[in-house]
Amino acid sequence: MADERAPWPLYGHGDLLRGLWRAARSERLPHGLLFHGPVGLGKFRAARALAQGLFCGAPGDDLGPCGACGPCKRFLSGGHPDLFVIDPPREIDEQIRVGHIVPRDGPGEPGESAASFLALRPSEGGWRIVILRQAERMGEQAQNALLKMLEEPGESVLWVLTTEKVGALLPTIQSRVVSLRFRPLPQEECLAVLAAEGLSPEDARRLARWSGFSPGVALSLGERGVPAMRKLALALLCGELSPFEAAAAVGEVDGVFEGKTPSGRERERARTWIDLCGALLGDLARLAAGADAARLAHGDMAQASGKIALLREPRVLASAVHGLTTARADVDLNLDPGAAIERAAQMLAAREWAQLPG
Amino acid sequence: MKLLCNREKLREGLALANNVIPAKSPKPALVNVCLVATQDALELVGTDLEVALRYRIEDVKVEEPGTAVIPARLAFDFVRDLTGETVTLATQASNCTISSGSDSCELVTVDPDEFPVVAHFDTAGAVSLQAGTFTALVGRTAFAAAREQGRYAMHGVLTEIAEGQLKMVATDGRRLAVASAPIDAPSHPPRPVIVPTKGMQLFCRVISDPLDQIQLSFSDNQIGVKTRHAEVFARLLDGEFPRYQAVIPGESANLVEADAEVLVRKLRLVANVTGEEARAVRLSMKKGTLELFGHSAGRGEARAAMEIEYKGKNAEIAFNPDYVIDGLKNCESGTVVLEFNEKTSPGKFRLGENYIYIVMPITIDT
Repeated sequence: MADERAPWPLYGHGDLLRGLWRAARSERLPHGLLFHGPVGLGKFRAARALAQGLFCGAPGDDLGPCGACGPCKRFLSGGHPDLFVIDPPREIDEQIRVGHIVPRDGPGEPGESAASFLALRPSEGGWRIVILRQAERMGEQAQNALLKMLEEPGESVLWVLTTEKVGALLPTIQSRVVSLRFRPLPQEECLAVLAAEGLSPEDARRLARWSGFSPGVALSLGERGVPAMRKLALALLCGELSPFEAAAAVGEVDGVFEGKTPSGRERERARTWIDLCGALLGDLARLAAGADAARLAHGDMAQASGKIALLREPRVLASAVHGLTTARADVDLNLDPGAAIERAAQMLAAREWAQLPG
Repeated sequence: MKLLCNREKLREGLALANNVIPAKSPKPALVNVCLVATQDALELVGTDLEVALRYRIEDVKVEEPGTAVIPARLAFDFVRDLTGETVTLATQASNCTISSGSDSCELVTVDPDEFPVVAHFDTAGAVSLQAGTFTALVGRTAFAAAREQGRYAMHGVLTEIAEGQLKMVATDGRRLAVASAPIDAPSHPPRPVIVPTKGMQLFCRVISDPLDQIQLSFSDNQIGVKTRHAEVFARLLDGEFPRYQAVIPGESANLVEADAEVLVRKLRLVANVTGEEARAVRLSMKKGTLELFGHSAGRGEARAAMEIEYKGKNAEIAFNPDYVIDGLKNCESGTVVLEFNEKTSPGKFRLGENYIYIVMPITIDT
């Protein structure tokens, strides 16, 4: 799903964008860019900001888009005629099809391709920009189709590819674009992003910490109700809730879970819960091994009650991690997400752990 | 914006605009029509980003000039179903009211800045020509443009003004249509552009009278046509059009002159037995006679003959009959001239003055 928020101002990557806008002004902008780096750092948002800045009719002193001119308004309303975005849905096995790159007839093929978009000259006389999000989702055929287009880009055409797995792209594609690595944001900038998104300082600090200071991940955790789930998990670890009570409460947590169907969204809820349980267990193991609590995302568990400390036995932790892995696999196999949530809750529950067989 | 206009004229304009405006689009602003009220006229602007239309309604009583962007289908449906003779359009804040007598409808408007920019026709450098000349050239060529996916440069009609002629060329790689007509154009360097077939079709649709004068203008990215009531624009195709001149045969050893109508009839007759998988009709020429032969494994075979004027040795050549018929439909005179050298070389059909049609032959087992 496209991120339709105004992409500018963009914390953490402003200098990079200003450099690209300057390059465009002096006609030195390459026809292909690859934004790569860990998830949640704003690569796609930076790509959109770059496009908006190139379209803008009245850029500011910082070279950034004004947000008020006609091209900016059309961009922000999703109607700019010279922008084509390939943003695959976040379903687990959804790939970017060949039909997204070049036209293909047949069921399930997208109606418009990048090639058909680029076949026409620009509508507003400037750039024609294609943003390809999560480029690693292209299969080999799609990558080969893209390669051909990168070899003959056409006049005033800009391709911006974003990926978290640069190694999944063909070397021939990598060699035809200029790679720009996105690095994690400094803590202050990550907090500034979260504050700009309307989070309270306390929530921003907690979510930033849990996400490893990745703003996108932090926002996603917030949207998916992870703070509420974490409270349930801690209550479970402390024995204040039974696994069944916790699982039922997890099913009621408010959150935005991606998926095309209700069951797809429930699977995403289950994944969120299981991943959180995994993260908590991981930090428990690290605490048991003597890690510095201050450096851990969930290091505050060190101050929790003795019931959590009871669980720091490696044998018990290993069994629990195995259980969580199985629950995650069950979800990916489209088995009942409610059962997987319950299983994960049991893995986390203090009393049941003590009874786990060796 | 506030104005009063004739309901029927508004309905006509909205109907035409809705030919351009998509019913659904991932770009939400596109499903709207932009109404621009000036001192004495109302302009309806619609686009699907490939083609765009500005339709002007005259004799409008404008109380307050302005702009409103409203849902195009809804507006058309409502205006069509009204019964009054006149319609009032008025905007208030983010709404546009369409009313006639006691009937009214309030539509939510969109920020005009979110609507795509549609150019105004630039008369500087534009050329004037008779509408019928333009539509005739489109009719003679556009059918030969490619339709299959890919090969975008061939999805349009190469259009060029050079040496006082407007020339149009279209090809799908298996056939080529070239037609030109003299026009009264100021001399400027040739500037070939590739116009999407869809754009050409829209140009022809807005031309209501072939005797009208229209204006044609070219810019870097689009071509525009101005008629009495409308300005229509089509974005140009990017890419390089095939070097078609090399395909047109010069001198030919064999020359057939035939009645175009009879040839079409005979081709249709014989083509009946040929299947979709092997669509070919063999033409065998000898002095005074053309024999047509078609067959299809498992279906049968058919023969026909007709009188022709023929210069050359006994020869034969096979074509896809559909391609030949497509061209012959546009034959300007009653007689068609076919020239070719060998059965493997292209056949050149002369379909009128300044109109040639090349079809690649098909090799068939005899």
